[in-house]
Amino acid sequence: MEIEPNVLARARRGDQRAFALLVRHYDPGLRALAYRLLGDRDRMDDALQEAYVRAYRALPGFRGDAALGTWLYRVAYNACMDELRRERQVVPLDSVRERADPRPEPGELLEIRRGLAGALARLPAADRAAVLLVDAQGFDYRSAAEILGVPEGTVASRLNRTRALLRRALDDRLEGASER
Amino acid sequence: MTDDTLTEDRDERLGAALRELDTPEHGADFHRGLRARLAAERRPLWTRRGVRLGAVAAVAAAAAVAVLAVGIPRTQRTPAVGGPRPASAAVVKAQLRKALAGMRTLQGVLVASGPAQHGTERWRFVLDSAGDVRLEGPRAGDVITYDAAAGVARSAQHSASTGADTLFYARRDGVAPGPPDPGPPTWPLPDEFADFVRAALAAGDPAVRETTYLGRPAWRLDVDTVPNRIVPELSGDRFRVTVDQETGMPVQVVELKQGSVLRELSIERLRVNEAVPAATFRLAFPAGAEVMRSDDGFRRVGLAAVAGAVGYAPLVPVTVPAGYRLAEVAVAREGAPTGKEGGNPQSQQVVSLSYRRGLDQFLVTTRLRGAGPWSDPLATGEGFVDHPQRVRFDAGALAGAQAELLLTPRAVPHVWALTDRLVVTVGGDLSRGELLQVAGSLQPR
Repeated sequence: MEIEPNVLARARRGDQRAFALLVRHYDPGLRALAYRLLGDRDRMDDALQEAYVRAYRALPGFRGDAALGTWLYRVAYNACMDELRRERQVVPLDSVRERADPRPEPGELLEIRRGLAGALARLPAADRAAVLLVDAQGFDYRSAAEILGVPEGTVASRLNRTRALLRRALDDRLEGASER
Repeated sequence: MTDDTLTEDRDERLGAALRELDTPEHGADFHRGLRARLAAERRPLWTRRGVRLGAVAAVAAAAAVAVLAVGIPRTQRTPAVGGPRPASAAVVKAQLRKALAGMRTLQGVLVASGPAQHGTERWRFVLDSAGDVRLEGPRAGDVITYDAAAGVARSAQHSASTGADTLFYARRDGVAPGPPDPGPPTWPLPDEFADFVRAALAAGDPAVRETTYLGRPAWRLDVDTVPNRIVPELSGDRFRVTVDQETGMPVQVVELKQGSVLRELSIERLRVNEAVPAATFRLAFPAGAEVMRSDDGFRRVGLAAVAGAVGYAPLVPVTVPAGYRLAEVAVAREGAPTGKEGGNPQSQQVVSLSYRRGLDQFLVTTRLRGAGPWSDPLATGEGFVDHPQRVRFDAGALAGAQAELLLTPRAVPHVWALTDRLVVTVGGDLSRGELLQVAGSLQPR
């Protein structure tokens, strides 16, 4: 679903209701990216709040030469990287536990998710971001490169090594689950 | 492998598994905190980017156009003086520069109207040559003040997202004097107007005609422009800027689309150089009001105290253009990231020196370079590719440093440089020659 041009136009002029619509539209994807980069809900909230304020400040200068989503993801990605650079108690990403879905669910599936989350958490943040943007969120290489501030070739090489590791983690868990 | 040979693919199975991973909702206070922060940032519908212009800024949209025009380096022409024939843009610029450089205070009412504006809105504004600002409107009760000497912004704003009659009170301490660090809250300036006028003036001489406005002699500039790409239906193809000849102030900007008026900005009840009480720029909150407080971390200090505060000697220009004086010195242990979409490392040990001349302002800033990669702190951003000019200084603190000069309609005219230890910017209402002169004269003090 796309943002209506009129909403963007109003947001650019400082209309907070319109800006709230933009936030609502993009927040689920940005949360998913920020949480997997930072591994902690409080840090995710800090980074995204900062990102939204930065975006609100910068939006009047946004002219549409970049796609809005790409631009907003770049703002959020930079805010997450800033958050990672801060010296503070860091929650080890390995320790991020996947919360159980409230609905009944086979234990194996939860185990697979934990395994994948753990493997993802052990990757460098920039590699994590590449695979999340392209494979999980559907960005093309060019947009991902804009968001990450690297050439497309760098995105491709990050995806190569990252996918190999994650596929292995996923397959190991699946095999483990089928053997039980 | 080059980008040209890339074969894009997506691992759908892995993507599906990654999407299955849980993502927590925001904490209970997230949206409330965000609303409060945005309320403190809230700007009227006509607005500008948060950079450039320091004080002038502020207010009059039209004034912004003027100031921006002043900053444009261009070939000087022999002014056309007197008579009914068209004046050149150089004449207008000269008058604008004179007006802004000599101005101590400016007050008036900014009116925005037209089909694309969804009704008429008004803001009362007051600003002075110290950088202080007061802005009231568009609704009764909406007030923003900025006390430049203290670096404090205060606001009472109706929240658009929490209820029609709710006023949000906010106090923001430690505000930086200006770009590249986030400065005072943004003001009702139509940056696109300013950009287009500045671009037109930079590119050549727009048509300047003698006219009258509200019975006073005025100049009218007609500027063709390209409609905004996002909302072409709401974006004009021509701007008509009217400048009062006596005061040098732009008093009306009209945005046209195929000859029809889309929006009009005008200044009413313009008053120049009238005394303004200092309390004008310090909004008093009602007793017992809940005030959202934040702190950007910048502290006003004397120049002599800077080295002790940040651990290095500040870089100070030995020469500045006539009329400029050092108005503010601010330091911050840590500042917001600068550059395109905030892509530079977190700013550390920042020094910001603000020089003013009437309503003109330029800033000299330094921050520790550290280990991170740096790009232009004052870059245009948002998909634009800047084409800076590499410059070399033979003397001063920037001798031998990697330095670039950027003069582009959408960014603050500036020089930025990387020394062994510092990231340096010089930017503001300066011509190309003045920028190079100031940057080349920087010395540790």
